[in-house]
Amino acid sequence: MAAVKETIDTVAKLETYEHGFVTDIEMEFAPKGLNADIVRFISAKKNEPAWMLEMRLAAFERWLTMEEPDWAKVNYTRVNYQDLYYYAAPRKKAGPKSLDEIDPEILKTYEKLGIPLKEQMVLAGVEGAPKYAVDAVFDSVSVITTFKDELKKSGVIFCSISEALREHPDLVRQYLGSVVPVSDNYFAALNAAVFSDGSFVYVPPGVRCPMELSTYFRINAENTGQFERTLIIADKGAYVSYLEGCTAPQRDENQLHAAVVELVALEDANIKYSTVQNWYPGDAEGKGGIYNFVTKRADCRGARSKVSWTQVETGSAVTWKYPSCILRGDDSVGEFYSIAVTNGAQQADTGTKMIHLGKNTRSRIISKGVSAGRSSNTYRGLVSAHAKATGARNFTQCDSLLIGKTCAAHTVPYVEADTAKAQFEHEATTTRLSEDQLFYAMQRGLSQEEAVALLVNGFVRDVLQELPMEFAVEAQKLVAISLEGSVG
Amino acid sequence: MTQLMPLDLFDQSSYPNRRVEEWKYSDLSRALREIPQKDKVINVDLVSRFAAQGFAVFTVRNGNYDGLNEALAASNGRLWIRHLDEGVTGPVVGHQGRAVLQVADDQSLTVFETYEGQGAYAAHTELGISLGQNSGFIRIVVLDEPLNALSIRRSTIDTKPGAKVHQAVFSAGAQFSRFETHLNHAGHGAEVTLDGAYLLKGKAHFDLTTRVTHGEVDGVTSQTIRGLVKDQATAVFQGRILVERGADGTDARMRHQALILNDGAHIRAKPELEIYADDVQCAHGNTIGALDEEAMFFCQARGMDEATARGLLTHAFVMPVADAIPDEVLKAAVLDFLEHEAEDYHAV
Amino acid sequence: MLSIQNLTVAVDTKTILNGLTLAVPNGEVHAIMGPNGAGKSTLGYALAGRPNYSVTGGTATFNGEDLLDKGVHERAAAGLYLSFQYPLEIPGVPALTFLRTALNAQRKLRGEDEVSAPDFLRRVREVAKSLKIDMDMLKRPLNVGFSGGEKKRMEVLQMAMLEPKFLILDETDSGLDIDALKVVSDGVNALRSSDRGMLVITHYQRLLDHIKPDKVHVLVAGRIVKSGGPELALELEARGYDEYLGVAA
Repeated sequence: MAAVKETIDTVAKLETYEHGFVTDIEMEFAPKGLNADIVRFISAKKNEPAWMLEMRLAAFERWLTMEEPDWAKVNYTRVNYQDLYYYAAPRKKAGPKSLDEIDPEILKTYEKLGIPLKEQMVLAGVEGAPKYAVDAVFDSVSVITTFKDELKKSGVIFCSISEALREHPDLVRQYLGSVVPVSDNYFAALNAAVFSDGSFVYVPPGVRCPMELSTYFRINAENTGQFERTLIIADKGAYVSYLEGCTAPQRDENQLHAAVVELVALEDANIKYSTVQNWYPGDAEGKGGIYNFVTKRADCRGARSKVSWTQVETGSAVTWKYPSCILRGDDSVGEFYSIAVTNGAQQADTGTKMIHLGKNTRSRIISKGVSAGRSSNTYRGLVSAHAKATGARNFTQCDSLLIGKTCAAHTVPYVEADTAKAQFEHEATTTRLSEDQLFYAMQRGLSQEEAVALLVNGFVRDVLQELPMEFAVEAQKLVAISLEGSVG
Repeated sequence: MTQLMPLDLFDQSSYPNRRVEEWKYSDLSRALREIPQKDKVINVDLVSRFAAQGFAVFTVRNGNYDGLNEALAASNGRLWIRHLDEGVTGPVVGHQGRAVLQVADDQSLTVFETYEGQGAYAAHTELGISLGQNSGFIRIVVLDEPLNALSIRRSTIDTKPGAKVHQAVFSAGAQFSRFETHLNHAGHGAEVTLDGAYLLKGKAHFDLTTRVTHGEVDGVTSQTIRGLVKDQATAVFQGRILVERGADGTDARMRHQALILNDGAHIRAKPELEIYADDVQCAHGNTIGALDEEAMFFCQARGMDEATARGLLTHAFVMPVADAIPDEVLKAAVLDFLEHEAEDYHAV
Repeated sequence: MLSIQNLTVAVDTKTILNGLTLAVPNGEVHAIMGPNGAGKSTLGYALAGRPNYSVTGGTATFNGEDLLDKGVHERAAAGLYLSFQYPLEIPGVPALTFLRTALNAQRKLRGEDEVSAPDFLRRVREVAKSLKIDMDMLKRPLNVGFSGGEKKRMEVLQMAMLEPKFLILDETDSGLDIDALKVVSDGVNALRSSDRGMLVITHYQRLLDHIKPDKVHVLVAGRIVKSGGPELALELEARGYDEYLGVAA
């Protein structure tokens, strides 16, 4: 299989975090630290409507009264919230109208990352190759969104959230914070107060979005927190597939990423949200790396709506992330497919929540955790069925693979059932990479690293299959790279 | 030795609240709003509904364990520890007590542990069990307390290499009932079974919490928990298996299966695996659902009315836990109890 | 030529092979027979380089090259193929993917070009047909949920595709009914050639009715206690291993 071959080549080629470079561009910062004035500054910078500023200030007030959560199985040096920059943007005039107006250094960055920002470049590609519309977010600011015009023809709005606040304020106001309220949790409140940019998608009734939408997040500046906010609305009968990729430079200090993603699916709508998260994980001793404290939630508001989360988590020093579905509409469906790979000193506490409120709602959770090195990998998931959620069904399969003697894998499911007519099924296993399988593969000619890559990719295959083709190849490579040197 | 979180019925500041993860689903502070009264003299003559032939009987009245070890010494390895707690109307009476049991190397002990009572009371007992090398320990627990009682029964079991433990807990719940087992697994061929079954009705709340720590190599743990809830009852199962670094060769399996028989009954399950060693085989499974419609149809097609079919199937659902009891006398006692409890499930 | 001199192998400090000497010239098929626990499977594992099977003495060369200082996959690329008594299940990895990955890994190590996808598929189809293996089965994860017979046929399919220079068949007949045994042996016999040696490890003579050996060796307590022609197998079948157990003690 070509993908396996590519994995092997990539493994052989790479020794360190591939995306660890820093781009040298002129930046504009707000002063360090956080107070109501900084919140006002961010809002003013973005020419936001007054209600948005009010929402931010309310969130900030709320945040001040909250405590950082400590129930996850992660240990980290607490963030000094007064020692961060909350606004960092590439210095520029107004918003860029075309690629020519963007700092060439930024373009180079995205080129290095292999992300096509030039539409003509994509269009010139192989005939029939899938098209991806890209929103590129550099530190706190969206630098370019491609294919906007083509999308516009079908009525799809795809732009940065700042632009949406200016161009489509009513839509934003109707949905923003309706899935993740500002008071939801510590990091969500912080995000609501200081979010600087992110992506906005609206797919009108009955429209099938003509191409994959994607956002690439890049943290570049030092001592900068990244707080993007993504809002996706699929109106009645609409369909959209959205991809998200993330990278950051290699730095010795920890960087905070506290994003909020809200998805709203109305009647018969279908949203597929895929993430390949490859933030800098820190070095082998656990120095540096991203704190990835993210709140992602989907509201299956309409009957027969469906939301599917797929995530491949290989990066970050500390991950705290539970993409969830509120299955409110009758017959709505929620899915969560996850691969979480930890190595070195990484810590991940990730999983999902499936909240069954409507009748005959269904959910499916497939989680594959791979831990190596001295890392710790926790699956934490909640499945609940309200008394009115008759006919609710959940199936959860949660497998952990251990590579080496010093890593840890935990499985913490919470199941809460209040109705007689629900069926919940949860299966979990924890095993180590089989030495017999390794020997067998090596007897047929694979080197140890090749054999590990093959077996691990086999272990996570059920989830890889859920990713769009292009991402699946990338994800497969990432999994192999993340586990480099974990055996032997 | 395994240590329990300090808890004193007579010191409200020691009560855990819901923010304490371990007590997330059983809020003691809410269940016990007032400190219970101490040392209230009561003199009701309680008779146990259980029978266990061939067992030496020791009665723990209102949490008083004085004389337990003498009774154990005279018991010939088969001991019935009969807990009887009494309450009165008016302010809640509190009983608290603790005891330690030891089983020497190569010795065997079979304990039948029953909990019964009358009236409204709050009871908190702790039993520390220490098992020698290659010892055998069978512990069959039946919790059959009044539906207005508050009962917290906690125990620690410390094993040594080669020990064989079979514990099975059967509960009908109470207003607030929690049974905890904290087992320290010595591995090296030690084998542990920690089973349980619950049948809850009315407003009963029962919390079965188990913590198994594998600190050494080659330990085997198996857990089968079966449960039924109806009315507005709440069942909580919290099972944690922790495998420490270096505890290679551990084989640990946990399975919780429960039926909710009507809307408004609740199940909260949290089966956890916490694993720090790589050469292990660990698995847990958790299923929650309604009574099998096809099986119901099958029974009715063979001539049973709905209530009979329901009673039969609910009873059958918890049977595997009773069937696995490796002592015939105690198996018969438990079957009697289950039969009696399952009758209430004929009509839902 | 596979040449083994005075080989001593220990598994977890327990010595299993104790001074085994054997030579299999290219083009010949040799059978190793012996009672349970004699070290038959250990010989195959030690030659393939299984971890925990430590060679504590002696040598093993293949066509003059030292086998023992090579890694497991390097021995495979050098042409050594071990057909497992209990082939492993590889969840999530389709048999075709596994096979192509292995084939190309070997070719790469030998400095050869990769096989193109159409060429590979064409060959697999041919071989699969001859072994009565359905192509759909090859799209399923390798050996997962396969019957004993299917797993053995997959082992033969892999050997036919990988074209090794030397085959070690470890109890290939175990778990096979008579029809499957015939299919598998036909597959193996098709691979017999003047430049390929084979070592057939078996407890029973039955397999040797189908794969006719040039020589038969009796392995008892870690060493070869008797060697002879095909007739030796029939003798063993009739009289058992009892008379050799004394020899080894």
